[in-house]
Amino acid sequence: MIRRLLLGAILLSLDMAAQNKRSPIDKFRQLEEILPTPNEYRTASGAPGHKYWQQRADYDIDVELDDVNQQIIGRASINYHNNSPDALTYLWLQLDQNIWEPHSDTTLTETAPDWKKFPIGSFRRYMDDVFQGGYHIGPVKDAAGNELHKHINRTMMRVDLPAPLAPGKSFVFTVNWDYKINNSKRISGRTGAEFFPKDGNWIYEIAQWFPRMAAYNDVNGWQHKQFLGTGEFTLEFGDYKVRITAPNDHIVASTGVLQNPEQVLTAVQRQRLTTARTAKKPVMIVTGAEATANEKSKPAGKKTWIFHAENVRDFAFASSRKFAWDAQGHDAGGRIVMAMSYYPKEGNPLWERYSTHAIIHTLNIYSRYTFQYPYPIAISVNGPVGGMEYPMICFNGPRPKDDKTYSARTKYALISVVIHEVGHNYFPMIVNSDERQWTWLDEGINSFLQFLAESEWEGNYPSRRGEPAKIVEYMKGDSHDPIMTNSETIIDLGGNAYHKTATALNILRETVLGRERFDFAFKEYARRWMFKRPMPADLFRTMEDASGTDLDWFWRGWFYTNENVDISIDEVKLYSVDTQNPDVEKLITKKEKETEPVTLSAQRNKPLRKRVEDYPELIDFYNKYDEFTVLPSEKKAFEIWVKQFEEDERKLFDPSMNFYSVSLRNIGGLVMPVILAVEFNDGTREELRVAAEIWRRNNLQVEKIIATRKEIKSITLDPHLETADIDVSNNYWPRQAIKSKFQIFKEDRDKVNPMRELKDKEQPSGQN
Amino acid sequence: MRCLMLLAAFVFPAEAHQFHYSKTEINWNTAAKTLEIIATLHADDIEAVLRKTHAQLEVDRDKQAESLVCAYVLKSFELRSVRPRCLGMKVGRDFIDVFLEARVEAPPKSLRNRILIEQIAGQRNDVELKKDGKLLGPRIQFNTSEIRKDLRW
Repeated sequence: MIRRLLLGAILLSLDMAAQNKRSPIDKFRQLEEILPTPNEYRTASGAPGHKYWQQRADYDIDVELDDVNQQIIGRASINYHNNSPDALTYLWLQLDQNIWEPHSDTTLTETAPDWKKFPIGSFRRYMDDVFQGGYHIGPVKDAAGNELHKHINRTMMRVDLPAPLAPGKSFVFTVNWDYKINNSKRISGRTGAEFFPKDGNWIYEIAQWFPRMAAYNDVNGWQHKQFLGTGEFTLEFGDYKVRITAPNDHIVASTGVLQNPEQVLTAVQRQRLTTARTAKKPVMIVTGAEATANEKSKPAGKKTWIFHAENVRDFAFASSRKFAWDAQGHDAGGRIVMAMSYYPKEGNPLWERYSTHAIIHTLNIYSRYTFQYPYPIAISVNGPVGGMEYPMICFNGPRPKDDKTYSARTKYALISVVIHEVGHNYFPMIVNSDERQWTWLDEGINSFLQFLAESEWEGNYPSRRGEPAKIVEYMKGDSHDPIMTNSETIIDLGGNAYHKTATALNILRETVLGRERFDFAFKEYARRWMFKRPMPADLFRTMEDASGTDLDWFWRGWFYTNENVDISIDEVKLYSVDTQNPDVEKLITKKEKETEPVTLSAQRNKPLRKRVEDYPELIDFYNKYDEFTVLPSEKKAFEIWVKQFEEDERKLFDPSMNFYSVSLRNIGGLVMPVILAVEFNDGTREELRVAAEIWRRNNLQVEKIIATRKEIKSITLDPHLETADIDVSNNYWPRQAIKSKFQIFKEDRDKVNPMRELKDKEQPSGQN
Repeated sequence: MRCLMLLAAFVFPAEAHQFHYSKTEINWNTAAKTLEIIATLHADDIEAVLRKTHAQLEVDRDKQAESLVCAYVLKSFELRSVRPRCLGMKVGRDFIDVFLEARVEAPPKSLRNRILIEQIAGQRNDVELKKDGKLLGPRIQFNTSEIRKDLRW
């Protein structure tokens, strides 16, 4: 039914004044009430302030890897630089290995499993067989050899200074330690040793292996929130000189640049490394055959590998006699970065084919969206850790089966995890966010960039995270956490900090800001905070500042609530202009009446003989009068009415114009842009993209006008599935029957699937 | 009274960024008089559990995987007085959807959902109830300490 739209000369409506802006709640209210007050350290535009400061710690370390007893023995000299405006009376260090002490908080706060099937791994902790992990810390001494008082509080250690450390001053102290390396088969983690019973060798991936300076910053003071196993690390930048002593038949991969290749590599290996610097594809430095031969060797002594790393926030290494090693130089803006992979024979054929390619691909794509990769090395190692990142080096787990075949899922798991963990060099290794507090600030941003990198690996790459439709199941219901939840308390870390954040950023890029504005602002965030420590507000503020867009509604909805997107097209009404011109309006009304349906009774009564046909004298004026005849009084009334409008206003009285009022209801709570695909009866199609501000005065229900001379056949909300709308069944006008996932599965199952049949006849993917 | 606890020989593979979660949707189709059940499990989790008895099983490649996954889910997802049959599964990058169906005159009054709970510490299972496609309320959560719950239709 077409409703007539009466134009009035006075457009002001008093109804507006009666509306209460706080009901419904204003989802566009500014975030000032939540975000910290800007100051000279962090500006209101999201940049480091003119007095921004951060601490620094330089390390000089000797470490020995004991391959017989699986332990680490180390000694470090730490030079701590106090760049803060505060005098410090003590220093805090992180003792992450202590989560594996028998009575650590991590162990004691574990809750009961199902008593009817008690996992053996958890059960060990209650028996004598418990892993005796954790640091043994020796005396801490100043540069003159005087012992300093220390106090260990679980995973943190306080070192009391003999005198307050004044701003701008440095303090050198030494510490030695040892600890047992966790066997990853029994206790998995971000570091550990993996035993290969067939050849009797180990692969070591060593991280969180030395007392690391806790961060001291302008927001939290000392960040010494205890490590419980989930919230990763908050660290200071510094230069590292590390001497790693390992069995002399081991190959060591490490953060930093190798300083003594002549002592630890053969002439052939050094020559291959030189060739690799300018090679077009990876060059084997230690071939698979050489690595397999090494497995049978017995060490004749020890070798010390010396590595230097500048301006890194951490240091990790891997060591084994099982490693094959390939390398390829990557041109990073005229500078060679060595992309290198280390893996046992168990990793092939996957690793030799994909790992180094994935490293270089990551550096290419991530650098485009952020900054040029500043380090000289980028390494991916296969060992016991499923996926974990450190400066210049990361540990990645996927391997093929014993028969050297692998599924597509394993292949893409490897490529994706290498991209992800190498990508962490940018966030948080260089853009040094506080992981102990905010997992999403590095994992979410990194997962978003991982999605962009995967999109350029191959067409239709099976990315896990990024596409809005893939977060829908997570967003349904209200049992998940807001993104702004502390790292240790998030229930579903992967769904929340990784997936929801990555999707939110992708929506911000594609749907809210557009690629050009987003990419500029995001790059500005990365540039501003390169080698500095941003907080969430710095990201929020920079993205607004550089894009010129108020995004407080977006951060508030996506990051501070657990609402979801569910917008419904409730109703569509058609209006056209009531011109008040009787010549026009009566003709329209006549046409409408002619097209009205004839009732069943009227149809059946039509052939009946009527009395007036037999008695014509019964017919009078009203039988002959055409109700659509325009009367002089009506014309007169129109002439008076039309005088209230100016001449140019009268031209707007176009009766052929259709005004469709689309009623939209916000069921999910999150305000989002409204994207409407409109299909017309003449077969044409238009798309209308409306900013989220359409909801600014009423975030529960709005009406959107579509003015057109054409007739609308159908309207689809969110036609490209770009908003993570959790219920698309209400996205159509007229409503469409949406098949359930269950129905689709049953129908597909019953169909003959030629692809499946042909695939079954093929070799399994990846088989040589 | 002394309760016996059974030890499960299970070691989960090293994974720095692991989380353990499943979601199951139970739709009571009143016209067809069926329960339509879709259990969504993390592919890595179910794969790791099944590898206890079938070393190196890969759920997206091995032909026997579907029957093993179906058997596992049917055993771990017990609806009172209802015995669903497994129609099959669909494997994605992260998750596996397992499809179950049962003829019913009336919907079941309770559910014992042990999917992966006995094998994986911290496993949480959410269940959504629907009647003719309409959601009936908030998700019902199952975990180590709550594996049996009443279902309200």
